[in-house]
Parts: sequence; structure tokens; C-alpha cells
Amino acid sequence: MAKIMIDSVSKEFLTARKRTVALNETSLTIEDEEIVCVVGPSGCGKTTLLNLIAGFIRPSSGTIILDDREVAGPSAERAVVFQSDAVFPWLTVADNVAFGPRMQGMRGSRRAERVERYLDLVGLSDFAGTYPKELSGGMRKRVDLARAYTSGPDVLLLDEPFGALDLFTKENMWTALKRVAEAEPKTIVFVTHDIEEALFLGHRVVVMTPRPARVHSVVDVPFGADRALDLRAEPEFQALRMQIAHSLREVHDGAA
Amino acid sequence: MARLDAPNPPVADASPPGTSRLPASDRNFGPLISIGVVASLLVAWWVVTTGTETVTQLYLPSPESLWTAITTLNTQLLADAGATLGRVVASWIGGSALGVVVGLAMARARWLMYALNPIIEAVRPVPPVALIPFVILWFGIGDTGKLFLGALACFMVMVVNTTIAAGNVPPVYLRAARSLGADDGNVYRSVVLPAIVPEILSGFRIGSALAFAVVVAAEFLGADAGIGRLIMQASRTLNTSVVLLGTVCIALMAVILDQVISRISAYVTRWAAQH
Repeated sequence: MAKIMIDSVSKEFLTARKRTVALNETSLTIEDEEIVCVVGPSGCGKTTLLNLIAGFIRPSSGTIILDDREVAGPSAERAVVFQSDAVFPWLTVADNVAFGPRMQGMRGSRRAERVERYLDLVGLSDFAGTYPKELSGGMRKRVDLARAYTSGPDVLLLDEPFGALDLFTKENMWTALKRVAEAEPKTIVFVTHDIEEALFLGHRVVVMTPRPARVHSVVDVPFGADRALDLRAEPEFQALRMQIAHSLREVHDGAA
Repeated sequence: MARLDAPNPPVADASPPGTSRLPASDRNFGPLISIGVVASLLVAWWVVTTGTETVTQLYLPSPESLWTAITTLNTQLLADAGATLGRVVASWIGGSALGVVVGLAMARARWLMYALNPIIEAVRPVPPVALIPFVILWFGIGDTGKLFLGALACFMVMVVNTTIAAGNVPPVYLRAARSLGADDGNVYRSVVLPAIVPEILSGFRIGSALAFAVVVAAEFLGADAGIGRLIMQASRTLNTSVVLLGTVCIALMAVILDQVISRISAYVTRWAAQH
């Protein structure tokens, strides 16, 4: 049984004078504990797709089904890591990470243990009592990631979470994400415009067309779970990277 | 294949808690300039009045005559200052608190925004002092009217500050909270409210200065005690040293109150990024 079933979903936005179709008849099935990376040109509606799965917006037509139930709104079963900084600045690192469990009524030592565990997984144990303003961008993203995991979701939705980071920090984040996802596998939908990132992290890579977005093709990533950063230098990796780059160029030219 | 499971080292640019970004020389220079300016003004004041008698006592009373005024008035000065400070603090706290509550409610319920916004926008530009004749008719010259005016001024500042600040909370915080399991009430208590604390506190500071201005002005037009009444009585007999003393009293009280608020708010908002 598939975890997430996106069935011919369209989304249009109506502004005063214009009707913009952001997503057009998109269908996609995502298996349990699968990591699916969605790549596409910027502004193509990848984020719209993610916001639809998160339940922040409702589809204009079509359905999104998670575990046999239609997505009707945001919920703790679907945690989101955003592109922009969403760490609450008024809470310490530990309190940020504890936010999900606190909202869900978990208390005392159980909550503390959980927070400790995920802080440790992302390597931030020494910064539990620190306020976010004293952290670098990469460290804040780890807080965000730990916060999403600690909340105990079924599905993790990541919207270009590392887009604003430099390459070195980004690689660190990939490693951190892989470590957490290995310790506790989840269904992950990862939106990015970075093909290497998608190939390095994903089990499958979904290529989207420009606006109005549709699924152009789906690439199965043949590398196993054990991936090192050097994997990117392998000929097979590069060949796949070129293949996806070509698809993207093709869809882009097709639209122009 | 090599495992990359060592926790990544903390990034070097994360500065240790509590450090200021200013270089040490800039930090120590500021207060020195302030003290220097105040001290030179005090000296200049003494020079033009007592020292050289360039300016007559009537136009600018000397430091000595101010001291004489203090010793003559003695406990009466304390009583007047206490009366004014009491009114200011009471109206400021009452008006501000009500402003925050109403502002939050307006930010949360659209219909309330539509209902109250026209009234607030119409009353806001009116200087509260302009309402003094009505206030005397409605409440007499007792404390109630003065408290009402001070509270009104603070309420207007806070209600506008709060609604704007609540509307400016980054939507990504609200979405994040929702996807972590927060319900409507939780989003308000645990996200919107803490996020706007800095704006609320800066509104408190503006409000405290306003409350002084409005309360003292209301005291001009009649009061049994208060710095405003003291100044008004003294001005009838052209006793300018008492007038000046009253002004100095207001300034001192306002500065101390403002310092208290800004110390408290610096602690409460220690999480906020420094400008």
C-alpha cells in the first residue's frame, strides 16, 4: 500500500485579473519510507506540490491521499522543513526541538529524552540552551530538522531546505539528514533545484516541467543506502546527473 | 564504504552568548559622550546664570534658585511628584494592557477589526489633550478623568502596535507551528504572542512618555496635587524657578521609568537579534 497517493492534482491561483495554473494534473505515488526528491526549474510549482501535501493549501481538483485518508489540512503527521528560517527565535534550541511534543501534550522526562535524542542525532547537544540568533545558518537548519523529527511525523516534507547554504555546509547537512533518516526511516519528500542533492539523497528523483508543472519523468536512483559524498565523482552518478540535466533543459526549451 | 557519521563540528562564526558586536573602543566611548554633553550643559547653565549673570533669573533660573525651591517646597514637592507618577503608572499600565488585549483580538478576529478599526483610526490622530474640556464635564477634575486621558493615549499606541506586529509575524512560523501539531489557540499563545513581544515592549516605552505628557497637561487644568498643578500655580506668580523645577521633576521621573522599562525589555527580549 502506497503511503502518499497524489491523483491528478491541479492547483490554480486566482489574483485580481489573472488565473495562474501552478500545478496541472499531477499524479505521483510515494511508498512508505521512501525518499523522493522533486527537481524542476525554479518557480515551476514544486513548492505548491509540497504545500498541497502539507495541507497548507487545498487542490483545485484531484485528491491527495495519505494512508487511506484525504489530506484536509496541516497536521503533526506531516512535518515541514522550510527554505526560509522557521526556527522560533524566542525559544532556545532545546525548546524549539521540544515544540512538537509540547503541542501534542507530551510532558516531563519522556519529552526531555526525545529532545535529547534528536539533538544528539543532528550534533547540537552542546547548544541546547542557546538562542537561535547565536547559531549559523547551517546550525539553524539542523534545529529545524531535529524539530521536525522530534515531532514524530509519518512524513517529512522538505522545501529546498539547504538552498541558502554554502556547499560545504550543505554537504554537512546531507550527512546529517542521512544519519537521521537511517536511524529512523520516514517517508520523505524533498523539493530542490540541485540535481546532485536529489541524486545523493533520493531513492527516486521526480523531474517536473515548468509552470504549469506536471511530472515529466521519474528516475530510479540505483545507489544503495550507504552513500558517501565521493559517490558524486562516480561515472554512473555523473551519467544520471547529465540525464536529468538534459531532461530539465528539454522541458525548459519545450516551454519557451 | 566510509561512514560519515561523526557529528559535524560547530561552525566557527557562531559567536559565544552575550557578546556585543561592537568593538570595545566604540562600546566605552558612547556613555562618555553622553556624560560629557550633560555635564557641559550643566556648567553652561551655571555660567550664564550665577557665574556671569548674562541671563536674568526670570528667564532662566539659576541652579541655586532651583535648590532654594526644592528646600522651600520640601515634602509638598514629593507629594506632587508622587501624585503625578501614580497617575502616570496607573493609566499607562491600564491603557497599555487593554490596548494589547484589544489589538490581539482584532488581529485574530476579522470582524472585530472591521468593527473597531474606523473608530480607532478616527480617534488616534486627535491629541488626548483636546478632549480635556469633555473629560472635565464627564468626570470632573478628580483622578478619573486624568487616568482616562493617560490610558486613552497608551491604548491607542498599543492597539495599533499590536495589530500591526501580529499581522507581521512571518507566515512560515505559523505554518511550521501547524505542521508540528499546534491548534488555533496554541498558534496564538505559543507563536504570535511571543513573536510580537519586542513590538509590545517598544510600544510600552512610547506609551510611558505619552502618559507623562497627557497626565501633566490634564493636571494643568485642575488637580488637588501633581506636578502639573505645581507648575500652573507657580506660573501665575511668575515663579519660574518652581516652573523649571517641575519640568526637571517630570524629566527625571520619565527617564527613570524609561530606564526601568528598557532594562526589563532588554532581558525579556534577550533572544532577539541585535540591530
